[in-house]
Amino acid sequence: MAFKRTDEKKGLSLPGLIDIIFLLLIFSLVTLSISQARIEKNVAGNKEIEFDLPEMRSSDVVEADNLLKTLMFQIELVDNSDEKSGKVVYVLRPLEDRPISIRGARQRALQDSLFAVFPENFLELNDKDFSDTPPCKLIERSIREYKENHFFNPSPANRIEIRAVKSTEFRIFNYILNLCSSYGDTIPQVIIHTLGGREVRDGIQ
Amino acid sequence: MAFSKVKIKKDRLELVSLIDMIFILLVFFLVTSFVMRTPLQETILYIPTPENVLGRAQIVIQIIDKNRVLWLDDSASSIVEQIERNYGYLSETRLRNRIFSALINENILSFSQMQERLTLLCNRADENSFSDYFVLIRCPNEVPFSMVISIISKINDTRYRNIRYGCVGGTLDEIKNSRAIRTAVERYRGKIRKNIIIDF
Repeated sequence: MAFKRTDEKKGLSLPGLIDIIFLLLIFSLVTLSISQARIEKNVAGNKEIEFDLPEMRSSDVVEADNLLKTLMFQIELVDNSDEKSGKVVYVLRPLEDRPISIRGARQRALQDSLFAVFPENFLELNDKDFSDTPPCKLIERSIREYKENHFFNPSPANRIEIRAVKSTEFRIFNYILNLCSSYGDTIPQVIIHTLGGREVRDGIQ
Repeated sequence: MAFSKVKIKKDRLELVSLIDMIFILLVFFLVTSFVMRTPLQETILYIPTPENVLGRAQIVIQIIDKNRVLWLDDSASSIVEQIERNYGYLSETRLRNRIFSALINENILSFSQMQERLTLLCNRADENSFSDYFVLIRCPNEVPFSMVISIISKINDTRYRNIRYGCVGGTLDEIKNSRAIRTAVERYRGKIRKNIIIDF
């Protein structure tokens, strides 16, 4: 029996082709915009949140400035990947002649050795021994010097900032509060850096 | 001339295009849901430094641990007053211990219960712009400071900002071992009130 030869032309379906092109277009547009956003975030540097700050569950949030305006204590984990590692405090000081970012000030603190690690047993120390630890001495000296050079009179504008990982023990925070408090109305408040945003606000009961 | 019959083509749904459209819609919704999530932004919160004066507060929140707090407000003064009336013959230490146990039994709240009370407090503050509250938060050394921040951020969320707050270090044991817990009649802002005094 002779085989019948069918000679069907395999044509490309135009609607299918257009759909695939559209899919590829959307995919490339989306990946481009996401990667660009990440690049911008990295370039801005300061916008990036390097560690977990405490969350602020409020509908009225004030966005933090990326530039350092006053003395700031940045408290981080010694090892960011290990939640149980100790705490280290960096003293970030603004420059007199030009603005400096938080990240830039942290680099300077590293270069100038303006950082100290809290001992592992700092929660077990009594108040006197705790205040004698190197990080507490560093904090105390920094506040005193900054106050002598910048806070001449009592004013609500005299502030000190704390940017601390959310697992920071209250003892460290309370120590800074009490030091500021010892100057009376000269340093009437501290600023705490927190995380705010839609996801956090949605959690309000 | 005979007219040819007009052939009516039946509209058929193209399966390939349908699948493509479904995929496009799926990608669109996935992407929009991803983009619509506003990233967390860094914000700031002002906290007043403690004053070196006699502490006075309408509400004291003593954090015990990550899950429990002791909540002391106006209702606590009536508990203390009742015990003072019924057990006034006891020695000062025994009376203080009895008051402390009663306060513990009646006023220890879980974190979620405290959140509910804070919501009620915020609602009360929002109803009257002239009302003025002061909440004192006492926190032990080992508890993460983020717990204090979560309480402050809640009471900071009022319309008239008429809930003031402060935070100090302190433990439940310090209240337990205080020299005295008693009530006292005081005149404050022209009003005579019965307050609890905890003498550390």
